[in-house]
Amino acid sequence: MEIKLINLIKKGAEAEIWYGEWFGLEAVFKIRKSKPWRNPLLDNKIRLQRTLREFKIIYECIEAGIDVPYIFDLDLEKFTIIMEYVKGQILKDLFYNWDSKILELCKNIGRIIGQIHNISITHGDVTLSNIILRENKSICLLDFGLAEFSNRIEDKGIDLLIFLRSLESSFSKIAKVCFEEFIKGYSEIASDCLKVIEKMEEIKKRGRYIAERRKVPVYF
Amino acid sequence: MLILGIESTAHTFGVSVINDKFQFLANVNSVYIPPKAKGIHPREAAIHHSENAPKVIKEALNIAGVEFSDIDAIAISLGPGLGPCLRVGATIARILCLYYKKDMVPVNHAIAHIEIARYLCNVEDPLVVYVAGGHTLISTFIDGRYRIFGETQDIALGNAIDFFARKIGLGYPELVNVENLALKGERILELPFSVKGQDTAFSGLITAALKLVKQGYKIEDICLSLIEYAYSMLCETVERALAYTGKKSLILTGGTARSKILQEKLALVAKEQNASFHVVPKEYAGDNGAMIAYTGMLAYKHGVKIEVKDSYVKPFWRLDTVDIPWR
Repeated sequence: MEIKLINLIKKGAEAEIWYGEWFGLEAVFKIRKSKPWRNPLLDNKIRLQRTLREFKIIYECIEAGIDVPYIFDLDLEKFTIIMEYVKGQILKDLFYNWDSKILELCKNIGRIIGQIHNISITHGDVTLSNIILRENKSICLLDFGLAEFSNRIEDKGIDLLIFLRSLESSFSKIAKVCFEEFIKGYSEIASDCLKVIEKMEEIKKRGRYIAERRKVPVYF
Repeated sequence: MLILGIESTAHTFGVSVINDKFQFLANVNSVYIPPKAKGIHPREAAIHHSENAPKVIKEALNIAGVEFSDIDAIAISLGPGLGPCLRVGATIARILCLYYKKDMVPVNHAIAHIEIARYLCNVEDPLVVYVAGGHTLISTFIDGRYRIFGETQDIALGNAIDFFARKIGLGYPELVNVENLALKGERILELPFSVKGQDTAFSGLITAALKLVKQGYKIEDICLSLIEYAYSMLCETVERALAYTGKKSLILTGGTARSKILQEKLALVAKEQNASFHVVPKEYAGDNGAMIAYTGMLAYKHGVKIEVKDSYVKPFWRLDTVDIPWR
């Protein structure tokens, strides 16, 4: 057998990530399984759309020289993308042990997000679980499952905000300094960084029951 | 020790009495029901509350078999919610506290929904899905506060579907009526699927669904599509949150938690991620006095109180700004 699924690495919300072999190479299989909670008609449509879009976006990133997993093959009947197995450490695990290098890492992540935004791609799920530090110290961005071809300031702002929320939800004590470094790196690279940051501040206030959004304080 | 809890954030005026063994001695709720195909008008709801408050309070004390002299503190939901409604409850609580010389305990309405669900379902550290007319959010407890992991960026799920229902002329209970129509639907129509990372947005979905109504598609099909899209969006963010946080239990709370379809879908989500699934009991899903009294008791036992002069209502009191000393 040239293609072999060996073990389940991660069962994400959207897809299963399998480790396996592809013609003698170590490979990752991203399989968008059917979701029992989704109506079957909606289910197939969403799976096909997302598999195709993810493939195209990863391809564009590779073209632009951004470090993402290399793609080996695409199987649309099984809603599967077969790609390189990236060796390294997931950033979320790395962050549990505080180290001054983390700030530099955050800055570099900012630069990478700036790069993808410059080629009109938004990642849609920039969390610490989706970034790997390779053994050669290059930062590899994973999981373009929610990524989009978009030049909208709104979508870019959401990328920044999701990264902030991902820091806050697991590392609330260092979130602020990390995010400041991230923004520094981002501002070096992203062409419309000021507008995006401003938008992010606006989106932050968009949830429910945000007092700041009200210009007049309510006292009774 | 006894606490009287008062809920008055939106359409419900509720009063409950709880003892320090966390047993509910009374839970009386009076709900303002708007005219057919109309939403809650804050002023009308506030008038309903001020008219019904004395009766509800007296009834709760009667059922509990206690008098004001037996009560130690009054817990009041100061927000978030509709200003005029909050003010009715807060004014009553202030007067009672001053006249009978009781302590006042401020309670955040959203935290109360979470705590009552945790208590009644007996779950220690769940991922919380709180869906109602005012909230749609996913939360977990980290470092002393409930953090928001994902939420709606515009209107709440319950609000969205109620709004759609009223536009097509359906009355109270709107969500149930839409779901009943959806059960008769046969096909899925094209609608926007807006999941933004952990967040969802429902207003575009409603606009698109109303457009389909105008274009003359079968109403049952539109309802089915709307329900499928809206719930699938929420389920997806919930599954992602479960996968990310690794929590082993999922709890559903808030008024919209009563939806059988949503319960079934979220049960499947939990199963996919090997988590247990719990739903707040039906009578404690919607707004109620009991959850305020219960959360008030937790808070009071940990020394949380407020001076009457400081007891402003807070219509925009986000749950992630509240310290939780009891966890």
